Amino acid sequence: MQKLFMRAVGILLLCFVFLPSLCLANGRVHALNYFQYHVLQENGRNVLRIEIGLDHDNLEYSVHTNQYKPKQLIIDLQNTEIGDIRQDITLDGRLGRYMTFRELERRHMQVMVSLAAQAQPQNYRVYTLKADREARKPFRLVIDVLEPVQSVSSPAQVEGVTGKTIVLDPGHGGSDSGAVGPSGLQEKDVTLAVAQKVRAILQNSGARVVMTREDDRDVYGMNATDQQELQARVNVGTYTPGTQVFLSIHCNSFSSPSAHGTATYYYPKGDADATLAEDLQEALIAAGGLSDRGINEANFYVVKHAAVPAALVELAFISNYNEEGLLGSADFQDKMAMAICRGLGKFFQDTGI
Amino acid sequence: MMRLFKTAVLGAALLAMLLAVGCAQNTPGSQDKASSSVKQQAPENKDTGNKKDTSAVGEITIKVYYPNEDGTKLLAVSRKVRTDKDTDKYTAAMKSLLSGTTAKGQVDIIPKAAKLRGIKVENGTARVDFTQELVKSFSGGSTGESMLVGSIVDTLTEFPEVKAVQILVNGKEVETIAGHMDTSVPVKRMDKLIK
Repeated sequence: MQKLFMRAVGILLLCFVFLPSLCLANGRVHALNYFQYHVLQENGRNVLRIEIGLDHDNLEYSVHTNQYKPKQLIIDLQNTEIGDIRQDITLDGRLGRYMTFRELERRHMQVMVSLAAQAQPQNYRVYTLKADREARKPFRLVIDVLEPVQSVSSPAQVEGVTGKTIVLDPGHGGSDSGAVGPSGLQEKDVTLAVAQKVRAILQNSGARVVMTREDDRDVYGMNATDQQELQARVNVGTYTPGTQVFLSIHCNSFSSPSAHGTATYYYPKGDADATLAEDLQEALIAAGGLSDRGINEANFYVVKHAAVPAALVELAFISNYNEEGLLGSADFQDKMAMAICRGLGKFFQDTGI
Repeated sequence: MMRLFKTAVLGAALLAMLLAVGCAQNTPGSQDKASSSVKQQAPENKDTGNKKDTSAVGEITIKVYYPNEDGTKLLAVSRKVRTDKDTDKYTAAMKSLLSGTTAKGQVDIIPKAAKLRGIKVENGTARVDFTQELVKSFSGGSTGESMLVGSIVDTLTEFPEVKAVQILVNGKEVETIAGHMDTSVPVKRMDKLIK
């Protein structure tokens, strides 16, 4: 720290000694002598704005990214020298992690911003702003780091679910990881991610959605019996007025890694249960393209005890290496989430519920 | 190494049993898949003699069920097992199931660490009791859980007097094995898994 400080002081002194003469010589060398960052909102997106002040305008700069270090944004500044600012700066942590100023060669500073996400053109902007006397800001180079738009930020819509009330049950959670894949993917994380995507699409289509859990937790609480835990999920459906469908989302698993495919389970409380399972299974197979293990009558707790038509979907086998990879990918999760919503829409149309 | 040791022990036990019983009744070489289930019987030679049905001494043919490799169905395997005054036919069948399979195209689904604690049949319901490893050592989805329960239930309901099976762990009714199936009540024969 002291060393850094000494170095900064040294550079500063150098600047004081040389700068006036250089400026006189060609009027082109910039000293970086102002720094500030803050997070602001823009159209509902968080933006990290980094402002680097220079002692005069007409800055030449170029912006680069590096495919081998995809989270770095690099800006080369011609004819610049570091002024009254630190060389290493910690950023907000959510959009930008830290940044450094380095002298690449004489009078050529390089700024590196380490981002939280990959540097993609739609997620950053680099530009200059003129001096603002009122705000007491000098001529600035501005780096905006924009919050990445989530893949389901403007979720698609499906027909047939407007005004419906659906309870989504992301399988397992908290102390219960569910099945674990050969690469360590946990069922509870996949089921929650997919359920959240399903909710986004359904809500955007005008449905009312209630989740048995919205984060990584046990629904009943820690140290519950298995029955308490499963009944707690059923209860969310029972005690949500107007619930029309209860849907539990899971990943399948088997002792042999060769088992694969998509399946849907139901308990025949009435005619609608099998219809729900069929509509979901058909949509999941069409979207995911995995092996069709069909709809299966099963004595499963949540679908049996739910008061409304219910189904339990097994998206794919987390115990199968290939399907584990799919289950962990946002693209496959999006496809299956969309398929679930289509299946639900078809179910409401088929049954008139 | 461990396996070698086990085989040796089983072999010795089998030999001892053969000597005691006499070679006439039991020729394990004549059975293919079933031989392991006969060996399984060997260490069970406790001399307590307090069991009810002494007439059940002998050899019977049973069917046990194991899932196929992709978990789409249960496959039946015929085995000859020995019953005696300590080992009734239900116990013999369940121990044979737990001994596992090495046949091509079949896989084990019940955790190796799970042991049978006891089994009783009353009013058409078999109450089969396992150690806690049945649940603790099991990690399965809907398919794994259905196949585990199905293999137990379908093996026991092969006996016509058994209509349903209640699974217990350490003497208590178990609510679910892996979080999907409701096993708090007796489970009826799962015919749909057998094709």
